[in-house]
Amino acid sequence: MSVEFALLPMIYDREAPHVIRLRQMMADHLETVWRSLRRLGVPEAGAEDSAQQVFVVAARRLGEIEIGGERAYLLGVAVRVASDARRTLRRRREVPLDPESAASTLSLARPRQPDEELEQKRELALLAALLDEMPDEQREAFVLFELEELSAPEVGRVLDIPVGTVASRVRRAREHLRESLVKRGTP
Amino acid sequence: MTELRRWCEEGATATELSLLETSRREQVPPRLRACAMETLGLLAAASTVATATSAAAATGRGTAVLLKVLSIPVIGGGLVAGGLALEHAHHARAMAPRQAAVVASASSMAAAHAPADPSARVDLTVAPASAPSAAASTPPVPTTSVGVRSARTEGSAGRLAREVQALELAQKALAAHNAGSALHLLDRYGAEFQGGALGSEATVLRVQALLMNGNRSAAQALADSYSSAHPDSPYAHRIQDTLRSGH
Repeated sequence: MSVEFALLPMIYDREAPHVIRLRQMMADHLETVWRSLRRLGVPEAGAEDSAQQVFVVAARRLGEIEIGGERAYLLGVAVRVASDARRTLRRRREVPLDPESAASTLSLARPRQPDEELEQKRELALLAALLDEMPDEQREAFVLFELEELSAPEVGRVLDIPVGTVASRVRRAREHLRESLVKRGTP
Repeated sequence: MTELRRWCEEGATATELSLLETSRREQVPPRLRACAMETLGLLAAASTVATATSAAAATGRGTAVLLKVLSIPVIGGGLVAGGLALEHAHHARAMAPRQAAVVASASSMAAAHAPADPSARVDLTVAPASAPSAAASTPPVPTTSVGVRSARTEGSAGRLAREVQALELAQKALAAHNAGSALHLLDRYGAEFQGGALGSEATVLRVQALLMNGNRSAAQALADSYSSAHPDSPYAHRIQDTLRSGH
């Protein structure tokens, strides 16, 4: 992460509690933001900058973020930042989507046996490939609902779609993922 | 269409569930975590702004980039988070526009970081504490359900979150010109968080509340006491500015 993150606590002013709230949001939700960006197709090389971008947006919109709604808000921004990143990626075609790189810097919560770690990497690479094959709108609903565990109404608010549409997108995404797994012979 | 439930309740296979679980277990790269840890560490170490400000001065280039990113103007040597202040009165649900953030790349400065000890792991996922409702100028917004958040032992992050909430309530009372409530909330803050990380912020708010309450002599006494104890703190200047402007 670039230097701005470390400097955030140094900004004090009349609105200090709000600046501190931003810092707290970063502490609580950095992992969620980073992980969701990756699942939404932001390549590893750009994930740190994109994560920072999410928090910059949050800093500018701090007054709009409800107490207790920080995580859902940040995920909403992450969806948009990731969408832009994917579009840029497709336009440039400089860095092809590379599922194999998805887990290249994987770090795990606790020490694991090498074979277990290898299996984790393999699964993350597989998940990245499966998500890359999904239409974007299904992918976004799936990531928010199944991976980040927002409620269906929260997903609806974040994506600005009705709850019924959330359900249909998530279910289509599941079918898509299942079919892709079957095609790979790993149902 | 039936109500949507999690996939594990709607027939996901073991392979599919394993993929979901693997994703949830993944964590950020150690370097990114270290930087977040550094942020928290700085906060714990620098409970007075003087430390933080001198650190900022030592990395002035980075500060300039951050100020640019956050649209924070520098006025008379003091930092004013104009962008943040402007957002305060706003409570729309609209999400940020896609083009909102133009982030200056500072990856070249990343080398300036001394990596924090990755073993010094702090719980970064403490659920926010519930805000006290008494004397608040606005009722706290109900917490939304965002997945399974296990209750954990409160760490420094959790304590800080509660400190922030306590001061936010006091600040809201001030914004609503309710000096009595603000003082009451600051008393509660002081009782609950003796030696808290945000003690200087609390002092600034108290001076403002006393002035608003018409108790200028008490405000002056508190300001003098703070200034003599923290002569080099930018907060001392801020407090004196507050006294001079009278509000």
